[in-house]
Amino acid sequence: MKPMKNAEDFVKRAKARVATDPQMDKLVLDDSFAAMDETAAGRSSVARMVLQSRAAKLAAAAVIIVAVGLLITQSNPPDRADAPAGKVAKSPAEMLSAISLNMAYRRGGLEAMDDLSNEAFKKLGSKPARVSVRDLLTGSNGV
Amino acid sequence: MKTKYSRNFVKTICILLIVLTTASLVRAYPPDNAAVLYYKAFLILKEPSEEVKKMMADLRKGEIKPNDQIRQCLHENRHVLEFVETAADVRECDWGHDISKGFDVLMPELSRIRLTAFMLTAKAQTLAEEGDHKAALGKCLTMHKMARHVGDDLLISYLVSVSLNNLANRRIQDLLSSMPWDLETLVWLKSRMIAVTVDAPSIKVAMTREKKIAMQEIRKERAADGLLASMGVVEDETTAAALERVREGDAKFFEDNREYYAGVMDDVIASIELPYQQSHRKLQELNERIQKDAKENPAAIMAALLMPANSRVRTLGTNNETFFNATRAAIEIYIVKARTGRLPEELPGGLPGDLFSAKDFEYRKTENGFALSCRAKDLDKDEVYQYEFKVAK
Repeated sequence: MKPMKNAEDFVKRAKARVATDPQMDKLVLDDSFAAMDETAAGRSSVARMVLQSRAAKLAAAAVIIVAVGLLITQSNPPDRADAPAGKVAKSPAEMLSAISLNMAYRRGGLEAMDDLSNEAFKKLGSKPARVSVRDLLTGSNGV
Repeated sequence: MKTKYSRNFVKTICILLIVLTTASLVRAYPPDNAAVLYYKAFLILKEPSEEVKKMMADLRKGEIKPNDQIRQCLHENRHVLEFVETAADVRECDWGHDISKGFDVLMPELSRIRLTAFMLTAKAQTLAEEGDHKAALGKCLTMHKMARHVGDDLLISYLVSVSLNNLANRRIQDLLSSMPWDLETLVWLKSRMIAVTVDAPSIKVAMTREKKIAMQEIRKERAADGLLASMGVVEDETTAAALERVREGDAKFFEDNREYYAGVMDDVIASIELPYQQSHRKLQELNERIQKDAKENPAAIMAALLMPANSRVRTLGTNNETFFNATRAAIEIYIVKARTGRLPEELPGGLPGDLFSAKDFEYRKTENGFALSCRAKDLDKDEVYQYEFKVAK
């Protein structure tokens, strides 16, 4: 016979003959609460033991340091870490503003202005040498 | 009779209306704004490699002859040069600058137009090499027209415009020195050179716009936003105290600075128009006054930090216009040579002169041709310029 079937038969046959009374209920409940208290107290003492351990303290400190490190890394991505303090990398468009071109001119004349612009255009990407309507149609229709 | 007349009148009116309405629908080419064509050219521009750029620079200096790589680059960019040449012939050019953005206004066209001018220079040299001197001179005139289009929106655009004029003048000088005497081409060039002086960028206009924009920029928010650093003002022992005052400045400080800057710039603009020697002296005095005032008067601090090198800009402008005048005078001398078979003994009258001295050029024949010399110095470089022209044997 299967265990499930055994249990069902036992309840059907024996339940009616179980006698309960308040004293017995209290006794059972008291025993249960005592057992639960003992378990909870045991857990608490384990946690206390862990926290009091020197190795655990070091591990916790290491976790905190790693977490802080990760936070700093996330707020300062590596590509900006190389930029000099106080300076923010300019976008290609900003590099082509009158103020940036003026600064380049003051630094090294029109050649410096050309260099700055070339750098900006490189960042913007290259352009095709020739685009005709035929080329565009070929590109979009595969004709 | 009267009815017939009325019918004809109505018919004519109807035809005129149809013609007028359809004419407005026809899209003319080229457009009336050259910038449209320039931007189109820049979109399809194929950036030459650094190696080819260096070759083009060497070609300009006369160190090398046109080679296959340069020709290849010019071939790849032939549509670019075509658009640029069409654009240069259009009278109006509006780049669409949003001047309300102050010094943050974007000017991506400046370096692109310089690059296309370098290509045109190389094209002129290859055409001259092939013996087509008139077409080569045409490319130089295109550069002069482009310089006119770069304009005088700001000081930086004026300086780029000056650099294009200089490129063109240098190339014309070389072409005149190497081409055979061809009266027709010389007369054609003379008339075209006069034409490109129309609407030439003005240093006064550039300075006036620079003043207007700087006045918008002298504000606490902009100073805090790194305006001075962006303008290339470096914090060192000479500027540290002034920069500290700017950082601590209140609304009144900036208001006083704006007022001082406006007053000084008005003096600068008035001085720019004086003859070169007088103008240069006055601009230097103004600069010294600003630097001195800034030590005692906090209202002069922003002017001291932001004021451009006005006397140098004035010299560059004078140098450019004097070179242009020398080229025009030289064309006149070549015309005499083409007509009479020999160089004149004296400088022909009524020619544009040396703007450093406000006098005629000093003319003298040399072993290979002739030279036109200025009669006063470039006060920044302490140098007297001389323009040499050869006469092809």
